[in-house]
Amino acid sequence: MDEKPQRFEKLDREGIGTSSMSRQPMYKHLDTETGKRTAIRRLLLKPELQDSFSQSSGLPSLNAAQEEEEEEDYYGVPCMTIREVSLLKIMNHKNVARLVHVEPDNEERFLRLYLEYAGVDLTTFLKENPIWASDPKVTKDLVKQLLHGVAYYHSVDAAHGNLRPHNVLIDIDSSKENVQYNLLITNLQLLPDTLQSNYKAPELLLGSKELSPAADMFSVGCIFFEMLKKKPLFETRHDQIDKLFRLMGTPNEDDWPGVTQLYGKKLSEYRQLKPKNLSKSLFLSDVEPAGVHLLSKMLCLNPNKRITAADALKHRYFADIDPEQQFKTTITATASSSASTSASVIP
Amino acid sequence: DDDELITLLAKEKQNELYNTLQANPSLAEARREALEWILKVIAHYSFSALTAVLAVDYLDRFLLSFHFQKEKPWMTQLAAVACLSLAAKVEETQVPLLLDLQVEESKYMFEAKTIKRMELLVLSTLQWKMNPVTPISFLDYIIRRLGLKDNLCWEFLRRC
Repeated sequence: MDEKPQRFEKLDREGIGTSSMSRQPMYKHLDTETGKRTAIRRLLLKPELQDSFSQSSGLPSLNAAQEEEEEEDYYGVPCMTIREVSLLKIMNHKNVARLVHVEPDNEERFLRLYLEYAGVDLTTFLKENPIWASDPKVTKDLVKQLLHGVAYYHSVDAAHGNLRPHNVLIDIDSSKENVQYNLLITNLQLLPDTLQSNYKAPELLLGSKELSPAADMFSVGCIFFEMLKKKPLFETRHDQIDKLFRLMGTPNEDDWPGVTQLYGKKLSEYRQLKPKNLSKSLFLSDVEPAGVHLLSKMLCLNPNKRITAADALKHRYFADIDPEQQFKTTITATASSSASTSASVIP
Repeated sequence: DDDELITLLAKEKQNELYNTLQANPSLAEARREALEWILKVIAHYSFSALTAVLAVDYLDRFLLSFHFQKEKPWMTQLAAVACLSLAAKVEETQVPLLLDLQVEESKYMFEAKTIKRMELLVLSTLQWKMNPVTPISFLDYIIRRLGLKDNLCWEFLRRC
């Protein structure tokens, strides 16, 4: 444990963004044992409540720095860190990034989690592969894989809590006759929080702190829209609730019983608006009706009525993915991939 | 629902420490002392049965894979404190501070910082696998399978 393992090599040319914790650029690392790429996520090894405790503690003060150092260890390794890492450790699904390795830094201030990384994040994929990304069958395939991964999280009583395009990785395998897309859900803290909230569920925006499977599904809805239209459903943070209510209607007791008691104060700031036609308002006329219907179920404001990942997988939008259909996909995909060796340039 | 039972059975592992303890009486004695201390603290804080089962599971797995030196007899006690602390954090909603955890008299008292280091050593030694299948997993399954839902059953499960 003391010797620093040289198992992971930094891939300097492969930046993946900026860490929200250290504000430093983050790089992928090569796992020399497996030859696969990984990305690091950091978890703090000190409790978040540290500040409130340091004020009330009646310890004899030595000097400030020393005292601060002592404070950190009152609780030892935080509960949430233990629960999260031990859960990630047993997670085993083809659409969920595996936890490859865990190690504390030398001063034991934080843990480094090495998570499986493959391909590119969804934002990059949509930008670099406009033709593939515009194929409705590819979108359907990717949404289905995303739902499988999310359903797996929920099946082990976990919520992801941070679903957004940067945490969705797409690996394109064009080596075989039919191009294959493998989707991986990861959980990297890359951007500052202010930029992360565009995918947050309304109950979280209204003040709830509870991460839930339902909140994950709203994020899936936002990502689904982004796959369909190649742009985020909510571009900026500050008017997100307003935009959402203009689209889905302001929640009331009829469609969300109990909402007034939960968020009445915050809700009173908004005008009562009626839900709009999703297809028209979001310019989804080119999307098959079943897809728009599924999207509306994911963006449902009431978390109790929002579709679950398991039910979404049974939605009729996916009904036409059958062996015969996949065969057709194979043929068209072959036609488009044969002319290209690079994944990013498509005829 | 049989799938769940199959999963449980597949994950169930034998306690491999038994043979080691037979061959090493001093370790067996240290373990017995540590267990007694763990159970006292659990009673003190009214922690659940599962917390007790987890703490002992962690300690046994740790003792099995970690080489203890005879000249450091306090190591087993430190491991016991760390394992109990970890079990409480995994299972309980209210967890005392590391210093407050050492309520029942034991030969040694450890600083919070020392316990935290031991926690990290235990976590990495156990490869962060903190949710093993326990006898309680089976009891829980059987009770659900029998459809016993009344309070008496949950009371039984809570007390066992």
